[in-house]
Amino acid sequence: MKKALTTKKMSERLFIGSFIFYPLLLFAVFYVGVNFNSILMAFEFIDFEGNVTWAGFENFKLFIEQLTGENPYLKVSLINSLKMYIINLVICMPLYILFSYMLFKKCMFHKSIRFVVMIPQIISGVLMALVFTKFLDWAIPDIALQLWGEEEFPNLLKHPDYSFGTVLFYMIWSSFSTSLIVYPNAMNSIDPEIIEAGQIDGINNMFLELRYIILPLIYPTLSTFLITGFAGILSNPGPLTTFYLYDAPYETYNMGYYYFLQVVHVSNQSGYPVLAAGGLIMTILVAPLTHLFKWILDKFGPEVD
Amino acid sequence: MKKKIIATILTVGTLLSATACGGTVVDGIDKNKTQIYISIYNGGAGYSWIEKQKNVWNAGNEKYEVVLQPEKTSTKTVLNEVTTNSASVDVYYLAEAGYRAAISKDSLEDLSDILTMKVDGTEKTIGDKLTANQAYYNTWKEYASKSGEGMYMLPYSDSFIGLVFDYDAFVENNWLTKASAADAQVTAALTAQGIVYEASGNALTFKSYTGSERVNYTEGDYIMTAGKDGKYGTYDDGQPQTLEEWRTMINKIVSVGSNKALIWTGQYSGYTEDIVAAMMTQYSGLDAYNAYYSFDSKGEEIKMYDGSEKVITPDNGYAVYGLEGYQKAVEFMDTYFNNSRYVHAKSKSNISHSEAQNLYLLGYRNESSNPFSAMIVEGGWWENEARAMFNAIAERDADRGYGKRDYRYMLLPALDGQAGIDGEGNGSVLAVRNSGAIIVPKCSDSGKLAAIKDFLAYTLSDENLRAFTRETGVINSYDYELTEADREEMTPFANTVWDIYHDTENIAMIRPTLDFACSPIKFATSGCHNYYLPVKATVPYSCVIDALEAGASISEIVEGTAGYYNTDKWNDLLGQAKAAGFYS
Repeated sequence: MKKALTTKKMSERLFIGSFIFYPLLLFAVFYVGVNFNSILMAFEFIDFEGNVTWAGFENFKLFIEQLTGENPYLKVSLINSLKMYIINLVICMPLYILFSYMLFKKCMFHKSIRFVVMIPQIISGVLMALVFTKFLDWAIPDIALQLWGEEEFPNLLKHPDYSFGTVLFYMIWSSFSTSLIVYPNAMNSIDPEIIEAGQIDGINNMFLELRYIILPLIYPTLSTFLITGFAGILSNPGPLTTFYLYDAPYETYNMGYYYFLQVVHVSNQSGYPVLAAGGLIMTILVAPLTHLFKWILDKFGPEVD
Repeated sequence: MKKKIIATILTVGTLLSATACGGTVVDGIDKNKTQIYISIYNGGAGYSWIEKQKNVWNAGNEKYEVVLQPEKTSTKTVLNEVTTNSASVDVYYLAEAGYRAAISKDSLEDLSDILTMKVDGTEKTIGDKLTANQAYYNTWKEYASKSGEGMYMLPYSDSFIGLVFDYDAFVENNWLTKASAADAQVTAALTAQGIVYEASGNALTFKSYTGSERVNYTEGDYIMTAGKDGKYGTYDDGQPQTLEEWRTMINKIVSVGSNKALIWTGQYSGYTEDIVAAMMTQYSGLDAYNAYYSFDSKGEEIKMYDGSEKVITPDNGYAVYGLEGYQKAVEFMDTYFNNSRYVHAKSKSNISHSEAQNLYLLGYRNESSNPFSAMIVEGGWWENEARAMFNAIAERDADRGYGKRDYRYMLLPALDGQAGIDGEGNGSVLAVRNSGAIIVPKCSDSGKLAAIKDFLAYTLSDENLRAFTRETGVINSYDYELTEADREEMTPFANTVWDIYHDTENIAMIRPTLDFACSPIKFATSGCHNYYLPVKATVPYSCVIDALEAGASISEIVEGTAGYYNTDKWNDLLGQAKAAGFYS
């Protein structure tokens, strides 16, 4: 009997192991290995022939010089990344919650709304970006021509005055789908009896319900979004690679994209150590701030009680 | 059981996803043979031309089999693959030839043996075909060898970019200049050339030809002015020669309906950089162009935009970015490419090269959303690339099918004070965008390597080189002749491309993409810059037209570009290049 159990356990472990081995291998190679190598590289100097020597903190110095010197791309990238997060925090997050709450309350056309906002999540990201790009390239100028006789309608993704705004709009629009899946589901998990109890206690309109019941109860989900968003503030390239690949207009650059381009365009491996040092500097900056942010959210967030 | 089924499905799924990388092999493989995998760049020239050649070679080889993988792998990816010994193919046919770093790192096989092979049944070797154009060979040798030793890349295709126009439409609309029947010099020159003509009012029409050189008129065609080459019946007949004539022609074009003069792909706006390069070189001369990439003017002074003259050496190499010709090119671009009156609005959007081609071809319908565009910025491969649209149009209008219209290249006009290609203001410059290369990553199997070399040599036989050009319209940079039958089989555009490419007396081909990629300041340093660095308020743009469209003025671009590198920045880059063994 014991032997049979052991065999069963063994096969169960083998079964589970067969599933987790491949992802673990990927994790070990593409996360642990890559990051370990990146940390080492930050302290190395690699010449054109590939010879490696110890560089100390020289790469860090070079990166900081780039950051503080005449590098307009780096500056605009940093500003845009911060803008993206702040806009997401101040404008998008309240909208996500509001829309999610409307869906939760089963407002008129809630099923249609849910379907429409989910489309970007169902269809491949590249395809969505292509449709969006072609809409701006072909449909909008034609509409402007037909309606107002405007022959020179600017291309919103290329024009320096509109490109960043257009990218931002696309980011907000496409991220709605994720939020409108996650938040309403979190709201649906709230026990209806709590809401009924609230109504007995005088919560008699939707605003009060949202403020005193829904928000505190979905707060863990909310804070998770805020923290992961904050952690990715300097690494999220947004849709720039999908829209422009290597040729995004200067005005749209952000840190994630800047880094992507640096890695792609670096002429040979001698360029990687400075980038690795930069990555480490970014981590050193963002990691404690993320923990601080988490602590603030935990400390000052609404109490469920 | 259920678990087993799920596990099997998931395992298969995992394995499939894990093996999904890599190019697509176009056909099956022969298990009795050793495969030679060839990655062929699937661009404008396509790959059907090599399919036929490999089928014949495979049929005659008992041990090895060539298998094609058509793909569009970037230079960066291929460089990474070959320098890290992770290439998944045995041979690459590439659209660009910036692999000097791989040669320096000893990642490629030396293909010198191929140059000594005789594949045409004559004493002519492949090397002889390559050295026929000595100037080109010298440059290629510098980039493809290790300090002059070996040959680690073989040329594949050589396609220039320029302004393509529909000659038939231009003649119909009177946008080109007709030869005058009243001009005795014209009629005398025609007679001397063996062209028999008829007067038609003040114009002349072609009747017959008694000369030996090829002319591109057929009976009844209007005879145009001779063009820059001074000959009748050639690729540049009727074209404007001076900037004033050019301006007149452009204004004539846009004065009709909603016509536009120019269209190009907004997605790859870098195509227009070849116009900048050609104009810059036409103005400042070939020596200045060479100094632009080698950072060495060989002791000669070259003229800068601010009126000064400088001798360029690697130590002050950054000064070359203030070249006067660059200013002239930016002015030209601003006047004609940054003017909504002249330019199709879609050029400012993200349209791809295929979309630009389609708009250009469909422009004759003059729809409100797609006005007629007189010229498109395109390479020699475009007609082959746009075959599908030609075929679709032909279903409604057979006269507009593939090869039916006489597309040609409009040469750039001469600027006042230009050096031209001879230093005396004559000739035209065109810029090659795709200087393709064939490379073979290090191969430890000597038998396979010998077979690879045999196949490569086979594709470089005169017969196969002719077939390549006949089918694609693209030229390979070896010395081979086309027969009259070949020429008849080719489209008028392909014939024009061939004639321009081989008119070394009047046309100079420059290769900025190749020269930039092979410049040690680019590939042997951590510096990352574009080849013309148009700068607007310290922000570098990837091409002049992008900077102009972003609102930069001519002076902002010219001064910004000239001042982008200071001594410190330059010394840093130069120091890296010198440490890697260059510019010493």
